[in-house]
Amino acid sequence: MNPYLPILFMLVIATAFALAAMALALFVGRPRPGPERKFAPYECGIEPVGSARDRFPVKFYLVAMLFILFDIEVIFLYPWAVVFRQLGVFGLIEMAIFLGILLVGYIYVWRVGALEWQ
Amino acid sequence: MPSVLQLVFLFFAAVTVVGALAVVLVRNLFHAALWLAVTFLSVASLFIVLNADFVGLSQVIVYVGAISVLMLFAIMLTEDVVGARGLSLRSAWPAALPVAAGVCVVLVRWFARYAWLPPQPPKPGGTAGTIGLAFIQKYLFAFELASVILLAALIGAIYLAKEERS
Amino acid sequence: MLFDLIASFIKAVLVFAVVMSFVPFLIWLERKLVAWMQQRIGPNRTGPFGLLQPIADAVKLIIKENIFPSGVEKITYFLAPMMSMIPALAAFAVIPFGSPVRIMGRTVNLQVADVNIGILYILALSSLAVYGAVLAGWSSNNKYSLLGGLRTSAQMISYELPIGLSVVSIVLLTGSLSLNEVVRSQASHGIWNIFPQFLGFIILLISYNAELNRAPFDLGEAESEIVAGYHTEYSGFRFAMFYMGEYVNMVTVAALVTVLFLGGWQAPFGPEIPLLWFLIKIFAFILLYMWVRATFPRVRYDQLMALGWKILVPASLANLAMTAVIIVLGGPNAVRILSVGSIVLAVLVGLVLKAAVALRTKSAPGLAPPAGAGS
Repeated sequence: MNPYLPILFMLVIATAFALAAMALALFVGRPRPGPERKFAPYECGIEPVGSARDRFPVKFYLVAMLFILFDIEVIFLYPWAVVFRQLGVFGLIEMAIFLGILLVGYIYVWRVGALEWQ
Repeated sequence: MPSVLQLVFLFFAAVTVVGALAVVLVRNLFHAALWLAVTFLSVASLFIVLNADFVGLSQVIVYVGAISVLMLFAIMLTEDVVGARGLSLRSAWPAALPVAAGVCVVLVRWFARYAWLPPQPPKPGGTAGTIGLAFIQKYLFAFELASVILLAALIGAIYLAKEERS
Repeated sequence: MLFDLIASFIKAVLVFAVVMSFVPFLIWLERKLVAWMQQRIGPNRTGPFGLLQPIADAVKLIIKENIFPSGVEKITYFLAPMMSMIPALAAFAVIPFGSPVRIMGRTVNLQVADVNIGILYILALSSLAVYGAVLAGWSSNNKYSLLGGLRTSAQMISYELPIGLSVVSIVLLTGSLSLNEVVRSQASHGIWNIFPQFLGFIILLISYNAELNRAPFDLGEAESEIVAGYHTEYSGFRFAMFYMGEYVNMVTVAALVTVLFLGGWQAPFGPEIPLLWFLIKIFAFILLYMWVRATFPRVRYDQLMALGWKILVPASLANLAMTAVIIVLGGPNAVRILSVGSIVLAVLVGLVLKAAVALRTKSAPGLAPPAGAGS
């Protein structure tokens, strides 16, 4: 049996529960009509000013970009770590080179201030 | 009578195709990016069905957990896409359809000629170890090169974000 | 085949039921504990010690009016709370919660799915959890939601790096990505991973606190700044889904940390009673998180990002390097040497952190938040 089949069960159960609960709530707590401002998005009591989808700092984009690159690096580490004991010193040196190159990148990122959240 | 595994495969294959079509056809960019995440997820599931679980889960971590999130950020950063509805079909789509169909036929015929391996039994220790050994032994140079490429991408990302800031 | 299928289905249902029944209890426990720690009484009107409070809350939330605020993106708005709950529940599937038992002459693993790369599976699913925040923030048509969603998602992805890097060190010690192997290797080393990986444990403790958006890292829902963050526009059962998802996530994290660092289901002393020790360890870990929540004030967002990127990432890299070198050079004594080295390294990291904070305080005595830190 494929070991991932039970995970599919788990996913189906969790999704079914979530859907059923949301559907039940939709059925029990039917929305009642009201004045327009009842459905207005919350803005501390005042009427919403301007668009809610304002532009946001490019910083968030940069964080996501840096995350991708380091995440790929972490993924590369896993297969290496599994066979590490068989490889011994050789594996250590190989990974030191791999990480060393990326460490240069990390230091560069730090030095240009990309990790500063100002 | 197809086996359970084949049915699961067909299901995820269908989701992949539908998702990919939605990515191209949906007008709302944010929804297109979400559909892309769905497509990545079902491709990952296909990998897992084919016993390439390490590749499948890496696909989830990198493509769904990182790259799609970056795309969502980028879309939220650039454009007000709320309210865009319906399909994005340009007037040229009747011309594009036969071209796409033609490419599809050529690819399928080309793939059909390839002698595919029969289904492999799952490796007892999992695929991660095999991949690790391949990284260090057979594909060592490519492996180390990957870190240089990542470094280049890192510098490029900083450069791009800096440009936008000034 | 059929037996396996039925057994795993029953296990999936049972695990789902048990984890979900933890949730109301944990909600009650957290409210009560935090109340006591803050010299309050906490829930005490419904049932003995207010034990029925979560049930009352659930009933209230489910019969609440189901409002779609104006301008929300209905489908994504509907999907977001589910996306914060389903991955956490599905992640629990690979957690081994006991040594295999024999039922009807067959060996049954006390684990829903015995996946040989379970660690990677859990990391993959926790990387999906970010979608709940992104979808909720974007679909709500509310400025606070968008800000909260962005903050939360940037925070979650940032802290995934130290988590991934510290888990690699565990894999180095174990030589496998299977969670069962992790438990077995701790048994064969005769020492739980918390000792040879003390720094990794600390890093994971902090990172998962941030990953779960719990105080002091609950920047995405800092009520003094952005109302309730990404779930500002959520009410009724949709809000309850977020709330439950948070606790399901906490149970899953506690179970993962128990398996990775605390020897899984093994008994520290005395006989091995199935499930008992596993549950005790999970609860100990959850209580620790509740204590942390009641103790520490919320950090600023720039401090949060600095902690993740400038302290935890290098610290986990140092931990990884030390683990790799000692495993190669230490031979059979590697685990013992690591147990000492890990504590030394943890102290070193602590000193560096202290020095960095002192330096910063000296250069900016007022500790005024830098301009734009709120975004």
